[in-house]
Amino acid sequence: MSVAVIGAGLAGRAAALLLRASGLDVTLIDAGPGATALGGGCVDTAAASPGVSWLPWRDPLQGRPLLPRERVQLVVAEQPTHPYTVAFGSDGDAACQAIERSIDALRSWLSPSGLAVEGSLDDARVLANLPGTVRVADYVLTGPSSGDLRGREEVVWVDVPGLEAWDPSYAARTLAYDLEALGLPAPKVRVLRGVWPERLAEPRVARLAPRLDRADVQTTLCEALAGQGSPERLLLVPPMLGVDHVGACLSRLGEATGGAVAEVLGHAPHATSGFRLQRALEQACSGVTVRRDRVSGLRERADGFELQFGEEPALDCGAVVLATGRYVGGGVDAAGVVREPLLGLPLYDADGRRVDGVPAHRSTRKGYANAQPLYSAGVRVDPAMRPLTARGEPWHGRLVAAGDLIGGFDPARERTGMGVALVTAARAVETVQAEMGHTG
Amino acid sequence: MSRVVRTRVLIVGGGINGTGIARDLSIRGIDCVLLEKKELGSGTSWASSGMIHGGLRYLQKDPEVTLHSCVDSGAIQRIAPHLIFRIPFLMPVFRDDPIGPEILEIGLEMYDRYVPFKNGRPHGRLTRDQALEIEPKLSPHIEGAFTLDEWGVDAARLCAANALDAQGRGAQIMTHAEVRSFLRDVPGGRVTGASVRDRVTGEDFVVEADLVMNAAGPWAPEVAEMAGEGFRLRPGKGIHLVFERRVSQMAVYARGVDGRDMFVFPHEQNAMAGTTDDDYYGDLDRIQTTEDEVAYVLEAMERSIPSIRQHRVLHAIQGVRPTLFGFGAYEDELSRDYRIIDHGAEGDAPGLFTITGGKLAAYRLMAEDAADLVARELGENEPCRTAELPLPGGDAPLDIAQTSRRFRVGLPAALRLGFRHGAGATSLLAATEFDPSPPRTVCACEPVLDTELRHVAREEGLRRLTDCPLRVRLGVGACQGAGCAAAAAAVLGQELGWEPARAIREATELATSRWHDVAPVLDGAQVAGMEVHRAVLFGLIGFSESLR
Ligand SMILES: Cc1cc2nc3c(=O)[nH]c(=O)nc-3n(C[C@H](O)[C@H](O)[C@H](O)COP(=O)(O)OP(=O)(O)OC[C@H]3O[C@@H](n4cnc5c(N)ncnc54)[C@H](O)[C@@H]3O)c2cc1C
Ligand SMILES: Cc1cc2nc3c(=O)[nH]c(=O)nc-3n(C[C@H](O)[C@H](O)[C@H](O)COP(=O)(O)OP(=O)(O)OC[C@H]3O[C@@H](n4cnc5c(N)ncnc54)[C@H](O)[C@@H]3O)c2cc1C
Repeated sequence: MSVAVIGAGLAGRAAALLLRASGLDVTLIDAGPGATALGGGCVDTAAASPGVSWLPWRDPLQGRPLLPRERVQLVVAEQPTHPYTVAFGSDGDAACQAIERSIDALRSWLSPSGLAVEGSLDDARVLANLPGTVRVADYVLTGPSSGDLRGREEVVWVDVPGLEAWDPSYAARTLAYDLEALGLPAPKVRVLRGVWPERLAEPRVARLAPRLDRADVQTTLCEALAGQGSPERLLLVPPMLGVDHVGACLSRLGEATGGAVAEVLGHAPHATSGFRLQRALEQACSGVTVRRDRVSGLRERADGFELQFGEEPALDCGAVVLATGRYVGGGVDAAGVVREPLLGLPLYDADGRRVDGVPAHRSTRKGYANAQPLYSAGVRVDPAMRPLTARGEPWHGRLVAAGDLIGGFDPARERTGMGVALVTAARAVETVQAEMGHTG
Repeated sequence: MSRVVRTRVLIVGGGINGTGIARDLSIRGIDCVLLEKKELGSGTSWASSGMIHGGLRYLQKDPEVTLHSCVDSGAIQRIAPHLIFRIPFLMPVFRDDPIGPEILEIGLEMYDRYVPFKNGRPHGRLTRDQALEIEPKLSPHIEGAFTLDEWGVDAARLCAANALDAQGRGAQIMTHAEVRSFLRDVPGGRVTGASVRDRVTGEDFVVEADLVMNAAGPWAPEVAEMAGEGFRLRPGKGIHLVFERRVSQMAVYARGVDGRDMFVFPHEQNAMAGTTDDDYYGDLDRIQTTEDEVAYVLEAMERSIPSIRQHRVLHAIQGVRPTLFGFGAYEDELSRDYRIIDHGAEGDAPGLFTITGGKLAAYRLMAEDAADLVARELGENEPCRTAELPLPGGDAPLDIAQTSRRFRVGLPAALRLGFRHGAGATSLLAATEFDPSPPRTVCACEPVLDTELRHVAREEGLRRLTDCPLRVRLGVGACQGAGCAAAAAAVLGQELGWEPARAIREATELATSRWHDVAPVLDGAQVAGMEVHRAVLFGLIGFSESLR
């Protein structure tokens, strides 16, 4: 009997790839992109989240910046509902090892597409965001990954005239200010104007990025920026250096300018980083059986499950990985009341309170930046990633969950979203393997 | 010693009444200072339906209000044609309506007599099939429909236009300036000015004036109380739901479970549905839309447009009507007319006047009345000219296509700029005409250009990012600020010399104020919308003072 993976974001694709590697017969159900395609170029596993007390960027006592590894320890010590804690208890080392294994796997999946995952749990990168604020990141994809600001003598923002929401003049000031606030020496920051090729003046990232996948267009840009770099100087450009060939574009720019070039961090629609990840994952899944459809119902049967697809033929399978995401993905729905649409699984916020069955706004609090129960809501799982019923028992032995569908953490605020997707997918796959009598 | 500003007339409140009076006085050459504790129009005026309607619903009980509204609607169209848009209405007829179509039509025929004053078309009558053809989302249970003609306005921009005109004629307009107490010449004597706090800088200063006009809308009793004067309003809370883009082609009437008339109508780039009317005695500075109100509005709309719940509600708007007090009457039957109180004649605070009640649509007439009285008090006899002189930008039509070509901006951007600034869009854009690169789009929903943001910061005295949803409609579209908060903070930061920390704080506060309006209506697609919103803004801004 095969295994069905419902949801084709990072969690679902990771699960499908791991299942296939272990020799299981797997069908991935792909209903189109979710949150993964909107990501900002970081694969956050334990990045600093300055608004969250238990994910500080600095050691509160000693004042020195924390390593991502130390933050994982803080998560499992401080946040009992976080999926890392659910999976590994207070064993932070085990969580770190799982993260590192998952990142290695991700690296192998993405490398054929030329997309590298840089970073480690023992170092933090300091990167520039589009408005000039900085982000302390752990793992970063090709594009922004070469933009570490530490130790630079000079940072130069390349102006792209007319580009929407891109305004380097003030960003340069903000960058200098934020680095100083982090206690890091601020490099000289300036804006490079008047060199961007006129042919490449486009207001929208979504129009510019695909053009830069073409070699001749890259050549135009290389010629325009030729000689502008130096080893001590970092050139920062908007997050639009191609969709499928960002690696090639960056290395050509590096050669032409004679220095370091990187994208700043941004989000859709002002960046293409998430689309790159989604496309590279799709390519990695080319050997996986994919059914492009949306699951409309999930029924338990004696020997497994039946997946329903509206009028289309149903699919039988022996085990199910639910990787349907949150609100963006569609794993949690909030029309009228908050609910998990396929099975009606109970949903809990980070404080362990149930939120399903009530209107979404009742799970909100005043103050935008405060913890919002609504946005930490998802299914509760056991350490084997089996969703639990309201009585705390596994819903079904061979039903597991992965990614944003699992509640107890807030991917926006806590910056562990993709880390959770990868680690929970790996743990869920282990459970399926054990249940199906397979050992990878 | 705190700073002292001297003027003849101090106006408290920068809603439509305060700004309208400031303009009227300035045209008459009477020096005045207007103090607004937040942003121009941020009180009731922003919360209104933005309709310069003739007040059909007041026809039966208060035809005076209908007449005022219609006459002045015509005047507003003359002086600010750019800010006005036609809203054709459709009134579906159901079998179980309490008032049959024949009687309804008699009412509409009566209304037709007022309609020419506001350049409207007389009402029309449609069969069921005609109505469904025009408005396919209408309930199949209708039996026919009437049409009538009303006008909409950007209320916040109308306040700004009045204030800017006043400023151009010498008035001082101060936003984020809150009146905290009044000055008296002797204890209990004449009101001679006010102590004011600048809520941005924290500075306390004093404005001395010959006369004070309290135009604080629903806050008017609170302000009068500072001079020991008591009078009562019957504050009526009203909310609207704002939908993404259009719900219907025309405005459509709906009926609440309690029989009240409501409507869903196109408003600017979006659609609005409302409104409610309930007594409100809570904190005027923390009005929040409740679950019951949202349910009540949606339920009413559902009767006319059954698919209403499939539309994405972006946010709510809430406000309180400064309705004149009438004991025991139902909320809806309270008078919509206005009063000017002379606290010297009617109380113990000579020098203080309060204007209260009324409607947006009748603001110009109310302002004329108030300014006549002020002029008399001050011994001036210049007549009112606000019905003839155009508001800024209203003097000539803007050629949208030519503006788009000449200034290298897209047609939608040119159109919206023309809507907000009228003919003034030309000089606004001329500031960047010869820049090497064209203006940048900061907010793609509206769209808003960086050039416009720079203009409102430089020329219109805009002070905070949280003022932008009102002043230029930034962040009130589908993205609710996710796409533009950081970029707009940067542009204003440059213009207003903000430290980066201040710009980050401004962006944070914009997000917080949008959340206030969005949280009560979170449902369906908007829950996912705000999930993206949070991921983007937490990513870009960080929301942390702890870094610093
Ligand atoms: C705007 C934004 C920016 C972000 N930036 C970052 C970042 O920079 N770094 C980071 O680490 N994290 C980031 N996150 C969080 C991160 O993207 C998520 O935590 C992660 O991608 C979740 O992956 P997932 O596979 O669980 O969910 P998703 O990627 O949402 O995938 C769920 C999938 O399930 C599918 N699905 C749902 N229901 C069905 C059904 N019935 N049948 C079939 N398929 C179905 C959906 O189509 C969707 O493709 C961001 C999130 C957002 C929204
Ligand atoms: C839901 C709703 C729908 C409506 N629809 C319509 C409509 O479609 N058409 C129509 O014609 N009318 C409509 N109205 C009525 C109309 O909005 C009001 O009559 C009008 O806006 C009142 O304007 P105002 O200037 O008196 O008050 P406001 O706009 O409230 O202005 C008062 C100002 O005073 C300021 N203020 C308060 N205290 C102080 C202080 N101490 N110091 C300095 N400033 C202070 C406030 O911040 C505020 O901005 C509607 C009202 C509501 C609530």
